[in-house]
Amino acid sequence: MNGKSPLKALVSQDALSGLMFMAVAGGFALLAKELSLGTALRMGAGYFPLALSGLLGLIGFAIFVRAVLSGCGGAVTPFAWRGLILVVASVLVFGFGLNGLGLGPAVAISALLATMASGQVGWRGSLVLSAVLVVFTWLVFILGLGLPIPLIGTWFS
Amino acid sequence: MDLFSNLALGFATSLSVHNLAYCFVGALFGTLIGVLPGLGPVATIAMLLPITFGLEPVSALIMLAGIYYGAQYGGSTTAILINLPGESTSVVTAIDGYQMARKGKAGTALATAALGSFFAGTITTVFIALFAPPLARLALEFGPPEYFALMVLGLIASITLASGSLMKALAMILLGLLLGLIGRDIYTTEARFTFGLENLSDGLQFVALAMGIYGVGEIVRNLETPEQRSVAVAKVGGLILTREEFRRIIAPVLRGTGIGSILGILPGGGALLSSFASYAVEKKLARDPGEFGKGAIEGVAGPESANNAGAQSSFIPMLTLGIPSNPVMALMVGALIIHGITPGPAFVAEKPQLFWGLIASMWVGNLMLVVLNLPLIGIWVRLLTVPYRYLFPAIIVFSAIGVFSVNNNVADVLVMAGMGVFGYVLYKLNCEPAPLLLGFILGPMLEENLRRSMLLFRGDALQFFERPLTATLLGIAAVSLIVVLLPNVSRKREVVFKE
Repeated sequence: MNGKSPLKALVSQDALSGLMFMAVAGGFALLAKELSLGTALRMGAGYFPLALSGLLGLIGFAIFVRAVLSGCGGAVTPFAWRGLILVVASVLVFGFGLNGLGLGPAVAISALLATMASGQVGWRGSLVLSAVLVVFTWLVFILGLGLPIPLIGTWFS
Repeated sequence: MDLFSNLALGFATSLSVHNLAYCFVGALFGTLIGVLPGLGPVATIAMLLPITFGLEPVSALIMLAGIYYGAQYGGSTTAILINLPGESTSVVTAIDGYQMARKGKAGTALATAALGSFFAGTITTVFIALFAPPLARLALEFGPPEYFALMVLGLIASITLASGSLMKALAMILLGLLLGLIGRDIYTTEARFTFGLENLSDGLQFVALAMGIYGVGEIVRNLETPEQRSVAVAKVGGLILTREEFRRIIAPVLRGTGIGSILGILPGGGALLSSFASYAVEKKLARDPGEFGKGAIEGVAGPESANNAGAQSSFIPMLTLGIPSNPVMALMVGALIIHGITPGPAFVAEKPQLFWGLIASMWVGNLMLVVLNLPLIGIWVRLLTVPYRYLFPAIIVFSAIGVFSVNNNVADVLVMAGMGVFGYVLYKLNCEPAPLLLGFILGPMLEENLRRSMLLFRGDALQFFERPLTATLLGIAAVSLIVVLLPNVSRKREVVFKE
C-alpha cells in the first residue's frame, strides 16, 4: 500500500499489463478491420477476431483502471538485460544462420553466445561446452536421426 | 467383458519389447527432467519430438506420455531431498517432504511418494479405461454447438482454477485465442494478421510458441538471480514404512487419487492444481493441522498421489474429445497429427490398439518408475551438481533444433526467439502464461465451431440456449465466471491459494 504515488501506480505490473492488452487488442482490431466482416449467420474472417479484440481491450482497460486507482499493482523488478540479449541473440543466430552456416558452426556460435549469458563461465569452459555440443548434435541429429541439415552450410562452399 | 479384451489388447501392445523400451526411455527421461529444475515436460517433449518422427505412432505416444508422468516422480525426489522442487507440481511436496528429510526420514518420504504415485497411477489407469470409451461414444453425438459450449466452459474453468489475478487470466486467454487465429482463414482464405509473410500463413507453430515462452523465457528468468545451489543432500535412510506410517497414508492417498482424477480432466487443471488442492484438503482434515509444514507424512502422500493421478487423467479430454486441457496435451496432439492421426471421439473405436496400448503403458510405466527410481536416487542427486550455467546453453541448442525440425523451417526458430522475449515480458508483468497457451490451442477450434453453429442456427445465437446440453454447459460457465468475480469470493479464493 506504500506505492500510492501516481507515477508508481502507472508503471506497476498490473497497469502496464493493462496497457499491453489494450495495445495488442488495438493492433488486432486495426488489422481485422481490413478483413471481410460477414454477418452473424455467415461470419467472415474478421468477425471473431474483432469480437475478441473488443473484449480484450475492455478487460485491459479495466485492469489498467483498477491498478491506477488502487495503487497496488505490484512493482516491476529490473530486467536481466545481459541474459535476455545474449540468450535471444543465440537463438536468432541459430535461426538466421542454420541454412547458411550449417549445423556445426550454428551450434558453436549459439552455444558460445549462450554461455556468455550467465557471466559465470570462463572462455575455456565456453569453448569446451560448444565443442561438446557440436559433436553431440552432429551425432544425434545428423548421424542418428538423419535430419536434413548440412553439417557445414552453403556459405562456406 | 469388453473391458478385459480391450485391456488385453493394450497390454499385448505395450508389453512388446519395442514399446517397453520406449516406455522405459520416456519414463527415464521424464524422471531426469523432473529432477532438473528449470526444465519442464513441455520443453523436453518439444525437444524430443524429432526423435519420435521415425517411430510407430504407438511407440511415440507411449514415450511422450512416459516423459510426462515420469516428470512427476522426478520432481518429488529433489523436492524431498534438497527442498528444490524440480517441477512446479512438486512445490507442495517440498513443504513437508523436506522437513521429513531433515528429521532423517527422507527414505520414508521418498517411499511414500513412490507408493502414492504408483497407487494413483494404477487407479487412474482403470479410471481412464472405464470412462474414456463411454465419453467418446457420447461425444460422437456432439455437433458444433456442443463443442463450442464445451470449449467455452473449459476456458472459463481454467480461469477460475488458475492462481493469480482473474482479470489477467481472462485477458491472457483472449490474447491466446487471437494469436491462435493468425494465418489463413479456412473459409474465406484471407490471410489474417500475417503482415504479408508467407511463413505465417499456416499460423504460428505451437511448439515454437511454447518453447519460446517456456524454454527461452524461462531461461532468461533463471538468469536473473546468480546461481547458488546449496547441495546439502539429506541422508536417504531406510525406505521401509512402519505399520503406523502405512496406516496414516492410506486415506490421504485415496483422497489424493480422487482429487487428481477429477481435477485432471478439467482444462487448465492437471497435475499442478491437483497437488495444491490435495494439500489443502489434507491440512483441513488433519487431526493436528499444526504438524503440517513440520514433516507430516500426509502432506507428502496426498499431493504426490494427486499430481500423478492428475497428470494421467488429463489424457481423457485429449483422447476422447480431441480437446487438449494443458500445454503438454497440446504437444501430444501435435505429435499425433504429425503421424496423420487426429484425436477425437472416433479415435477410441478406430485406433483401439493405439488407445489401449497407451493406457496399458501408463500402468507399466508407473511400475517401472517405482522399481527404477528408488535405487537410482543417488544418481539423480549427483546430477543436480551439474551447474545450470552449463546446462542452459545445451537446452537452448536442443530446443532450437527441436523447433526447427518439426517443419524443417528456420522461421519457426525466429518465432521462438520472439516468443522468448514476449514470455519474459509476461513474467515481468506477472502474467501467468498457461491460459495463453490454452487459448492459443483452442482458438481455431472455437472459431470454427462457432461459425458452424451459427450456420446451423441460421444466425440466431439464442438457439444455443434452446439445446439442453449447450444451455447447461454455457450456463455453468456463466455462473462460475460471475461467482469468482464476486468481490468476497475472489478474496476468499486468494486466501486459499496463499495457503
